[in-house]
Formats: sequence, structure tokens, C-alpha cells
Amino acid sequence: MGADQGRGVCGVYHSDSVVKEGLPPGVQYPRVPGHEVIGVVDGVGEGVKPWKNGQRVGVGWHGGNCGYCDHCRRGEFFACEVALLTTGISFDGSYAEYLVAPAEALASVPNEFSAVDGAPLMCAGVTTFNALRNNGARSGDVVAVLGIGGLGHLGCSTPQRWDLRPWRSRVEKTRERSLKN
Amino acid sequence: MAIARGKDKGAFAKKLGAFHYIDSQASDPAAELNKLGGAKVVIATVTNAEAMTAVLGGLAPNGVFIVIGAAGPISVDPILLISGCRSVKGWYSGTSIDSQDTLSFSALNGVQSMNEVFPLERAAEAYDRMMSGKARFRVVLNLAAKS
Repeated sequence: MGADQGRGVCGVYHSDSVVKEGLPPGVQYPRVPGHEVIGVVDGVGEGVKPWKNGQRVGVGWHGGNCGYCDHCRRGEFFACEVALLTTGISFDGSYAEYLVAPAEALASVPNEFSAVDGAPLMCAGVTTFNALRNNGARSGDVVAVLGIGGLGHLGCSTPQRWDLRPWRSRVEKTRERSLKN
Repeated sequence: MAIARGKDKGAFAKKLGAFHYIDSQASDPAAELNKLGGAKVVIATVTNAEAMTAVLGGLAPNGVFIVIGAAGPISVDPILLISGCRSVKGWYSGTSIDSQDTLSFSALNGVQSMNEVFPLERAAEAYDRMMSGKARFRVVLNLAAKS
């Protein structure tokens, strides 16, 4: 996936720091961090069918899984014990002009989104969206988003779209000050 | 009902989409939540374990406290969990189709982040800005941007 024609964008996420600090077991260096990326397909590997050159695509945290271990066959892809791949940790990420990613890691990007607006949704956005849609909240329920930061400010606007009732709590004095500025 | 300590903060909360706002430094967030009947879902994005603990008591029966902020150990009262069938759980990001669904949902509903944009050659500066916790709110590297 290339970022040619100036259309590539990469989000800078706090979890990128685990690569810098050497926290993931077995991480091999040099390693390029970055796991919130929007770009354009610049080349397709042999046998890869769904994607074509020029398509707008995105890649997030989950880079791939084996598909055949017990967890994968139960749909628990995040718990893959054989070949769990994380973008920017298992393979080079998107603090770069070009990124080589597994085909299964790609998401199609709607034209409504600029790359700048879409990139933060590839991990920060999907984390809050998925946490909400998979945990039983129904229309009319009270949903609380604790914290207004990189994740929280996205979470605040999402419940309203579902007709849920969002609520937030603020605890950090520094952030309170920043909001007043 | 909006609960806020600062006028500007309350306006910002509404701008982002919240119907209610509680300042947890000025009031007990669990008690305030219970006035609304308790929360069916809490999405905890903070990196402060004490702040998370203070909200646990505001979970409705069968409520789920979802941790997506990496904080230290959280203190949970077992009776709170047992008596109301409440739960505390984490959430992992998602697969590529989940991200695609997020983009579609967000495009249809106008959900987008507030970003600070840096060119790729200033990646180190962008990283430091993100780590400082002062960015409002996402930091992104744009290959088309000029330094």
C-alpha cells in the first residue's frame, strides 16, 4: 500500500510507544511504528483477489491471524495463538511513505472521508465504536464515556448517533484548563 | 440534564454530543449516574485507575464497565458485581471489517475526530506531542503536508 500522490495519512497513537520502549515480547528491530493508516493500493501480491491498485484503503491495529487455531475458529481473532499480527509491531507500520500489509488487514475507505479524518478512526475510532456496539447498549440506555481525550472525544459523539444517552466525566485538571483556553 | 463545573466546559460537552455532563471533581460521579438510573455501559478511556474506580458504583444492574484506557490496577467491590450482575471487561480494537464498519457509520453520521496534523518529516515532534497528552485530540502524520 503506497501513500503516493500525497494522499497517505498515519495516526500517531499512544500504543505506538510500546515499540519505541521495547515492550512487546519478541519484537524485532528495526521496526517502523504506526497502525492508523489511510492510503492507496500501490501494488497487490500474487493471489490477492479483493483489492486493486488505486483503491483507497486503511489499516488498523489488527494485522492478521492464523484462521485455524481454536480461538480463530471461535471467532476470537484477537486471541490467535499461532500468527497474531499487529501493525507496526509484527511488521513495519505507517510512519512511512509505503506500507506492506496483509490483504486481510485492509479496510475499504468511503469517499466521504479525507485521509486525515479517516486515519484516527482505524484504531481509536473502531475501539470506541466496537466497545459500544458489542456490549449490549440499546436505544434509550444511559451510556457513560469516562474521559475526554483521544478516545473519549470520539466516544462522546458516537452514542448520540445511536439515540443512546451519553454522559461524561472529567477528572484531569490539565484537560479542564485546556478546554477553557 | 447537563452537569458541569465550568461554563465553557459544558458548552464543549454539548458540542461533542453529550446530553449530560458530570464534573467528577465537584460531585460523586457514581451518585450522579445513579440519579439517571445508572449506566448500562461505561466506556472508560482514562488512564487513571482512581477515576475509573470512582465511577464503578454508577453501573446499572447488568451494566458493563468497559476498560479501553490502560490504567493501573482497579479496585472493584465484589458485592457490587454480584448483587447487580454487573461486569468489568476490556475491549480489543477490532479487525479490518470492524474498522470498515466504523468508517461507514462515521461517514453516515458525521462522526470524526479533532486532529492536529504534522508532516511526516516531523514525526518525532508529532510523537512527542501525542505522548505529552496535550494534543486535542488525535495527532496525525500527513504525507501531503509541508513542514
